[in-house]
Amino acid sequence: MKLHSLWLFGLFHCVAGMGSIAGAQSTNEAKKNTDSPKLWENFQTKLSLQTNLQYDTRSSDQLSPSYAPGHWPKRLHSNTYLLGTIYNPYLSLQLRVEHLSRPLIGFEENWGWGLSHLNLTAHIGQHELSLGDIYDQFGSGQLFRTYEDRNLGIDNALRGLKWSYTSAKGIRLKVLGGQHRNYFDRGHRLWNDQRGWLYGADIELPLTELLSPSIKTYQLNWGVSYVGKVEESDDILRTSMGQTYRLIQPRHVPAWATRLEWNNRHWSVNAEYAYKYADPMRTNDYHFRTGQMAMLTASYSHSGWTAFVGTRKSTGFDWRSDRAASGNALRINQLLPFAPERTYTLAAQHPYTTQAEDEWAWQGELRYSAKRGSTLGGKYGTDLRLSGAWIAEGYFHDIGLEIKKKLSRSLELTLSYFNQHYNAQVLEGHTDYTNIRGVNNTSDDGIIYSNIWVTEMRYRLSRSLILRGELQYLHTKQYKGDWLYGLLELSIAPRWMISLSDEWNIGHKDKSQDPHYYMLSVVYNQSGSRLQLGYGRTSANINCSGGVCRLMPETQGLYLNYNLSI
Amino acid sequence: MTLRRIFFPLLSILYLLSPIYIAHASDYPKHQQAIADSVSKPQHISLLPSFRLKDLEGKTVDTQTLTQGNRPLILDFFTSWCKPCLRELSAIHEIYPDWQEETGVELIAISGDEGATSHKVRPLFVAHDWAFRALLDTNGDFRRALNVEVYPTTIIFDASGNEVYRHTGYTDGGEEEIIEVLRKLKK
Repeated sequence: MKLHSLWLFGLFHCVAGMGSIAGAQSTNEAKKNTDSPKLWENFQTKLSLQTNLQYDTRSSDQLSPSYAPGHWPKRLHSNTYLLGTIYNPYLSLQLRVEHLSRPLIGFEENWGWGLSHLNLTAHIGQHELSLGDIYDQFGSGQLFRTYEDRNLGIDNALRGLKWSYTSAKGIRLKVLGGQHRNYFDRGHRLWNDQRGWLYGADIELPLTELLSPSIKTYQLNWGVSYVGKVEESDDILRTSMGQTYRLIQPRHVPAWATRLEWNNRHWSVNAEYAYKYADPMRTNDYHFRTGQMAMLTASYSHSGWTAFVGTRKSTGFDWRSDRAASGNALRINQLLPFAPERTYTLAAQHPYTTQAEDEWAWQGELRYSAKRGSTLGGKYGTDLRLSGAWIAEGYFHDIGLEIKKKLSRSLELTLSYFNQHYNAQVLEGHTDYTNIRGVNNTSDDGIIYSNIWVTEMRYRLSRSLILRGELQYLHTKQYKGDWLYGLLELSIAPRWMISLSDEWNIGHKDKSQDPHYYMLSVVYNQSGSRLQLGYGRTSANINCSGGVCRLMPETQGLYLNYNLSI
Repeated sequence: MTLRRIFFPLLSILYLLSPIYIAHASDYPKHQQAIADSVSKPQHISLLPSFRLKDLEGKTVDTQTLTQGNRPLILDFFTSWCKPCLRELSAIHEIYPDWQEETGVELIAISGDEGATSHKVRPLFVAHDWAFRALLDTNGDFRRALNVEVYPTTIIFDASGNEVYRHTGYTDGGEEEIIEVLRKLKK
């Protein structure tokens, strides 16, 4: 408690100290140049509130166990975040208060409430100094990334210090150090003694500007990063041949990465390589082995059509700041899934999750926009998109073709087809769905083979009324069998939206379960606020975002989501 | 405890050094001027926070310079996989030349695509012939500083860089409201 107060006290003094000096500074500045920005003026304030409420209407015996005693109503769950930012060109202060006393179903481990994020940043000329909870990434984040994703309840902000410098020629240097956040497990303390410390540096050089500034036809950037983890040993015992051994764990684990980025008028090429020293931990079953990751992506863009291909190979590249961590906790780096993100409900039923310990992934995308008046384009033009991913050794495969065409002034049609192979054995570690999903009906090889057809239509009824409909059909012999999904959505521009949907498990065999997952929702938007009220059931699914997934249990009830941003 | 032994001396040093650090602020207006000059004639102080984001050609852009064009500005926060976002950008693309002619507005699309997904943004823009500038906010720093929580979020700034309008989500026809705001600004 004491340490916590000291932390706030320290931050306050930093702000106050800078402020008092800034005041004097700005007075001097004002005399010199009345138009110059002043250090202690022009503050902007931003506030945002996000609250997701759920009222569980299932029968009492189906309710989740109470893990948060107190006055909070038994059926009410909520995730609420209040974020405030004050900034001017020199200083910025950001803080966030979270209230998850009884979090939404599926977010139980995030339980807690309090001031979860506090950051003070000073921008002076080419320098930036940040103190407190820090979000940053080196390169594309495959060696180091701290970020927040509320949909998945992830926040691994680094509590510590960061300094960055950008030279006039564009050389960018970052140095940082600190410790990860993991929900509310620090209590009132500043840091948690049970996990490791991280430090790192990253430099990026715009080679074109540095070597031949006259070149305007292409842009070449080169970056190098280094990250180190310092963590005390734990008592990890293993028994082999009747003898008990204590595992040796390195106190210091370094890792480094390098990247190259090249762009010209039509081409973009990105290459990245990273190496990590051995770090035995729970997610690699305490193996003493090094890790490597290599990635190459290239795209060619020409007016009207574009192509993108990429490949990534990683071995032993899961990395945590606490060697005992599992699930989504305390990741130092983030390998996004090397696969297209699907947004249609049935096509997103089995999303791919990165297997950083051993994976070789390929993906590609072709886009073509047929111009108006051309044979394929017709009167209004046509958009084609072919995208796919293939993960070696039969982990996953997904091919999708989407055609979007405006047929008349008021009607637009999108047709899509997806073919997916999802290796439940590898990706979820089991093929037995009886425990979590009702029916055990998986193929012998543990793979779910599915074909999905989607029809989407938008029809403009009047200037402000638009009706959108989706019809999706998923065919599979595995898992729960076939699914049908229908959606009708009426938009009343610019404020209202009413939608009704049903996800129907037509192939289900468990007669005791209701196969319909219906949802009625109303959305109201006005300037910075958005209110969504819904009633219905949601199926158990894997909710993914940015390569990280969370298994969401089935829910039923009344849902209210409110966002305010001013 | 070791942590306290490290942290508090460090904090004290920072606190004591802050005057020297702040003293460099005198260079700041010059630096700011230099950036602004390269964009267009600055008329005001930037009211946007400073982050360095890459554009689709790999060049780094300081977000503070975005409002310094002495014209209204629309920031459109989107991701390549967010369908309402793409519908909004497509709808604006259709009427963008008229908007520019009428109000002088510039739209800058801020992509929230992460990691290698951000490499797909340039192909997306070129395939659709979208003429907007786009910046890659791959770790959401700029988004977070402006308290943007939902995709798409559209923010309009007047020619002096003040935020005058903010809208979250997109319903078809929503772009009409944007042009109304821009027309009011012109008056």
